Amino acid sequence: MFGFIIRRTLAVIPTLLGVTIVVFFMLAITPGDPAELLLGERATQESLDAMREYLGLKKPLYIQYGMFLKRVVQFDLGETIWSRQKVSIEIKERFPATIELALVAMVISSFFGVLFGIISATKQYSWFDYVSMVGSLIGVSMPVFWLGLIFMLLFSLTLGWFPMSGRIGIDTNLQVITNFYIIDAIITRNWPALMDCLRHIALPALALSTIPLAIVSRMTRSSMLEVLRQDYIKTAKAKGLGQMKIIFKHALRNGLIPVITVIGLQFGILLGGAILTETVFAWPGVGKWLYEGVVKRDYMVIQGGTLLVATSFVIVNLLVDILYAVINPRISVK
Amino acid sequence: MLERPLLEMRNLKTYFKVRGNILKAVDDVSFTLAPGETLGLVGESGCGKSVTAATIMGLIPIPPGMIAGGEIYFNGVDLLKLPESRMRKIRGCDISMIFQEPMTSLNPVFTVGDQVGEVIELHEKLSRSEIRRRIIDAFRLVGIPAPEKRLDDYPHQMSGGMRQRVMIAMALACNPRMMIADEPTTALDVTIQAQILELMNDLKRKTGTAILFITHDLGVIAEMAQKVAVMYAGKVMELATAADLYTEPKHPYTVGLLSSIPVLGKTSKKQRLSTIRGVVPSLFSLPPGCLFSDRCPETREICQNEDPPMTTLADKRLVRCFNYA
Repeated sequence: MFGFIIRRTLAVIPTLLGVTIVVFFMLAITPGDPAELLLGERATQESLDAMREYLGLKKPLYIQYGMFLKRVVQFDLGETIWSRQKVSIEIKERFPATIELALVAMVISSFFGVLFGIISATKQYSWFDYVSMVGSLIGVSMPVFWLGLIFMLLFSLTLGWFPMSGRIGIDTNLQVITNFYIIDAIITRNWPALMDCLRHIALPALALSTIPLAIVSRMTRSSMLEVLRQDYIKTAKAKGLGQMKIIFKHALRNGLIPVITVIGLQFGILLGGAILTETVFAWPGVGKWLYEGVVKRDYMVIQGGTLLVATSFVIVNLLVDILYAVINPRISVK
Repeated sequence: MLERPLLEMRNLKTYFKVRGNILKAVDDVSFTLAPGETLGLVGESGCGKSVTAATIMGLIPIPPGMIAGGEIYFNGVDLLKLPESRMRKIRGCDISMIFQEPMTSLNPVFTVGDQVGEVIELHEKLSRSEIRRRIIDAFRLVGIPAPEKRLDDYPHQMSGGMRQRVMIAMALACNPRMMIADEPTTALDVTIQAQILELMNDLKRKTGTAILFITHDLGVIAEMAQKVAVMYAGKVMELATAADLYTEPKHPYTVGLLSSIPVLGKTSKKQRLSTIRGVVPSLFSLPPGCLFSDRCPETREICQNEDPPMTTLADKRLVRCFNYA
């Protein structure tokens, strides 16, 4: 098992190198002088020269790539063109918000998705099965920005249950430690702030969770239907096990194997910043930041954002693979 | 057999409702099984052997299945009238079952020790170390080498024969009074098959567990059973002691089955194997009268129109045929 984790982790390195190559060439193949591109038309000659030196533009391409790689490893992702802030600092400020939102959305969609999937599978062709499957079809097909706006209209403007946008109320005091506001509120035992954070995250998380929820519940249903037909389920029944134990112990552990892949992929996508959701709810995460970077043609933001998104995707996939091996003993052997 | 039977099945009818049709998978089946006895249930695929077993275990999904009639007395209690909660206590404890496919009958994500231990834990209140000891005992009983190590193996780390031994260990873990073996050797190759059969015979002698042995292999039955029930399209055609059935089959279907077995040395290369003409009728369109009438070499007019009754012959065997009615 341990050997498997090591091997799988090492296998991540070539993928990450590939990502850096793509990101590096994104700037290198852009027509024109990258230094001018980064500093703008009104840059002084000195600053242009300094930038050229920094990027190593006079050196061959592979050395430029080497220098780029070195900077990336040291988390030096340059300064943004627009705000002249270090990209690494901007990411450090925003990424926790995205992770927080993605996590809450994934917890909602995994829990309810698996639950609905199991009920649908065990009560196949019941009214619940039909309702949840039609519901998930609607969930998959619903554009998230539209759903977000409807949620705001209904739950914020009309009913007033949740705030419209943002991560925390302006008049809420919270001592920021980790930048994960929910965790910070718990650490500092600041219960009013925790409530405020949860109220703020509720609508975006709910909107964000609809598509993964729909996918997870459909996947769980079909996987569980498959598993429940297996011989070992018959064995479990013949042992005298109760229905609950058969479903939640013998069937679910097998049925979850493909579902975990889907959950991992969805989580990876969400970590890349739910651009639409973050924009609609003014959620200060990397999605919104990346979107603004693209609109303003801020190459450094795009570069840093792309690296971040790709790396988190690769890491999530790594974790999924390890989790996979924990659940399924047949995998770590190969 | 003066002993009170352990299991007494009376006129069991298990039907399935499929697309508006009623399929009579098991129709009017009766037999008894004494303590420590082995009853062979033989017949071609789809004749209702496995459905009979599943009905005893209470594992028929209802719907589409339904128990249209009959009683199954186990130890004097009608299993068909028991609530699910009490039936669960009997399953795996008083009546256990082993299946045809050892490769797929064990859950791939739990160790074999876990899976055997689960039955013991479920039916007996024991500590963890006692359970472990019982698992090792059970493994030793079924001849699994180095049981202390093997119990931490996952099913995929074991061969088919070993997995079937695990299944048998699981079935015997709670010292059941009766075991249902549903084609336990069909998926195994011949040498392993012989080992498993020998093991089962051996265990039966040691534990005194009654066995309902389901198979389509008449050779296997000859080695295992004292009594044999031959099933065809959901009905028992002949029920006799193994000795009587093999030396002097009465029902034309039994005769046909036995004569289709090649005999080493006696069947010459040029001689064609004897077969029963035609195919097993579909449960969707059973012939009127005797179910075997359209394939029977001795069929008469009455066979085509009337259902033959079960007749008891002088040697106490039961035959469902107008030849003996």
